[in-house]
Amino acid sequence: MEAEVPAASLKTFYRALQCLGSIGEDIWIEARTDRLELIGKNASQSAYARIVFPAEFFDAYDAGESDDSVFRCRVQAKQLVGIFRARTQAVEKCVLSIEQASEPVHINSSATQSECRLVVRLAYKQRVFRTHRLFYEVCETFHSTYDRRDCKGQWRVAAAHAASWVAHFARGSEEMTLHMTTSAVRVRSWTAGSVAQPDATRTLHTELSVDPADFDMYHVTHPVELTLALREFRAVLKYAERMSAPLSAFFDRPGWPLLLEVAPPPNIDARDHRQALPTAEFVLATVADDATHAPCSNNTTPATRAPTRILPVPDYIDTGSAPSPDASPYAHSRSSFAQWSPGNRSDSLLATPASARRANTAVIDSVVASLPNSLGGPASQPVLESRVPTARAYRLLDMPRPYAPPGLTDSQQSDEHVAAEEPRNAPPGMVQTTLPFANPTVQRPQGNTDYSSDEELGATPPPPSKRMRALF
Amino acid sequence: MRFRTLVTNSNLLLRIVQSIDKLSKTAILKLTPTKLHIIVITDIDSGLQLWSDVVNSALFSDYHIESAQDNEIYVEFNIDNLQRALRSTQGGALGVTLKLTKKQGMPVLSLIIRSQSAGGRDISLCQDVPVRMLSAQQMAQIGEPQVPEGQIHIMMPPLNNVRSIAERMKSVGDRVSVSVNRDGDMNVRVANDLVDITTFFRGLETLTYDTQGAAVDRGPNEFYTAVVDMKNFVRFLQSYHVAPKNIVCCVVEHHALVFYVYIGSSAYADTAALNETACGSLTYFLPVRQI
Repeated sequence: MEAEVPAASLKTFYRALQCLGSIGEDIWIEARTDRLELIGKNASQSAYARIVFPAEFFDAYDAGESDDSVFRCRVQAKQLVGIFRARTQAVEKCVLSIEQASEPVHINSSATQSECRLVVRLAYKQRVFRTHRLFYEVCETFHSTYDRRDCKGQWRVAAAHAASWVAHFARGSEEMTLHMTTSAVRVRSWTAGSVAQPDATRTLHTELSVDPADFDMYHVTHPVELTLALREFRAVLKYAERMSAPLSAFFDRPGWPLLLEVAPPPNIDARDHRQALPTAEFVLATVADDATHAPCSNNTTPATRAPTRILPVPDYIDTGSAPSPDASPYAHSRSSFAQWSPGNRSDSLLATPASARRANTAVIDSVVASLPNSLGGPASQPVLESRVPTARAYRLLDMPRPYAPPGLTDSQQSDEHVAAEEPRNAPPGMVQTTLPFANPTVQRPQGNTDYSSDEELGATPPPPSKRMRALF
Repeated sequence: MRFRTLVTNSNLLLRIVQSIDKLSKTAILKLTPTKLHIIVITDIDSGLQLWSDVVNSALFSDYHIESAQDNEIYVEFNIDNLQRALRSTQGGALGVTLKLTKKQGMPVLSLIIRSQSAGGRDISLCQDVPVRMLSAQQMAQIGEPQVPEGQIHIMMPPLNNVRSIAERMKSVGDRVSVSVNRDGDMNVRVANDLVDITTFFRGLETLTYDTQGAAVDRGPNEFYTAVVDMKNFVRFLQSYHVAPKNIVCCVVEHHALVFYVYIGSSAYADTAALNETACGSLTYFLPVRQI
């Protein structure tokens, strides 16, 4: 993948990254032939963002070597955003590219000419260059399965106007409620169900009533009250405001997510210019008011909601040994790695996610099987699934689980690979140093801490608000 | 217990709340038929107390108050909350109403703000500041600190000058010594093991009524000194928010340093209700520390 961001659009690109960075800790990158998608979601899976840059946005864009391959990876948001934060006014040219090692990287080899990195190269005047080489992790991306055509209500409003509602809220507010009727909109920083503490230091309660005539478009047929997390909504507003693009919302009822879209303003006349701007879509979970709206388990939702929701088969890389997608995307949860047949391990670990998966299946099998239960081994899966939402809970965002086992960075993958092959072809001088790694039992405890993020091992990610549940 | 009024000068109210912002988390609002008082009593470690009073006509119109305790109401509120609520009144509010009410069974000071959107349509905004009502017994316990007669009263130099030097002195030590004499000199001194810094202000105006008192025991160039917490001194300097007309510094040796900050009316040209006289004051009591 190689993309050249025009200097004039660098700010736009930065705003997109910044928005994703304020939603979650990671940014997923999906490079397709016609577009570059940046995807983010928060730790509790209650917010999801996807910003699509068309190929025309870039001065030069090349998705990859072959036409049908899609490159997917994730990087740490903080690092990537940080690159563009510092002084980018003087940048003349900015190139993002993925460097892939031509051969598995050896942990002990001093040769650094082939590494897997996301390279960001900024060119300044007087031939000054700034180059950042970031670790990335090849993994699957997430896509929302909610369709705005299923939503009964929608509106579109100028971003500055929407931002002025939230500006009145106290800094400590965690949630907001949108109460929308055919004739009025009430924006509240508090929810009717929340228990008020008898304390003078409680937070400020703000209620704002707005005339729907202030909206560019307002279509609500029946009263709806949505409660959502303020943090992510603020991030969306900030992005929309800086892009000076209108904010469109699509919603149905409490417990169903609020779909937001920030698209280029329609009044830009030049058609090609409009195409070159990114479009962003956001899915924000809302609180279900009573238990009947909240599903008891993920797996029941596709059946009951089948008429109104389309569950697209996720983009899938066509490889011979890859498992066929099930009807339910949740079948591909973490523990189902164990069901996969071990593939051919002689493949390069560093190519597409699919081949990486194939090569790593056996390794991951043993990792998952040998993990202690508390760390998310096979036995912990029922515990996760049986988590029944209480009366007020955020509805899950239905997103397909990643197929490839994430959590392996490129260098560590190759480390693993080398370790497995070590007994056969290790050079004589290296036997001593690498021998412990060839033994699976010795390798485990270190492996856990090294190459698996908390999330993927089943540790509960920190909830952003007290009432939010971990959704997977 | 009823309280309801129109707020005509929300800007002044905001400035007063801004100036007490750093003092404490919560403050007490005392509402009486003629005046509004804001009282901040910080914890015993700091010892700073702020008593302020503003005449109602400078802030409100259409003022209604009713209660069983001589028509006085005491409520405790969170300073941040009220400040945030009042900030919403800035930028083209058409009308602001303040009232005491109950929402969800809890007492709140409700600020109802009417304004207009960019499209010219009405927006109504309601900011509910949660409060705690004080009982008659609790009200009786709150009283202004009793300090002996001050030995000297002097007009403070412009607050911005003092502020800029105090900000620098803050890093040197946590005690500041303020010395004043009858010639109109004021020395602000801070010291530690390595450095001793004194700022001299000359030609300040001493107030004449000191000399009428019995306790003229020192010559005109002899200093009266009070040592107070640097932190408290800087907190007092926050009162620049109200654009004070003049500030009187009173030294009560071995007891306290008292500052009377008079809120001028000239800074608020938009309030017709005010005349040239000060419409209120903030009184800071800074207890003296032994070095």
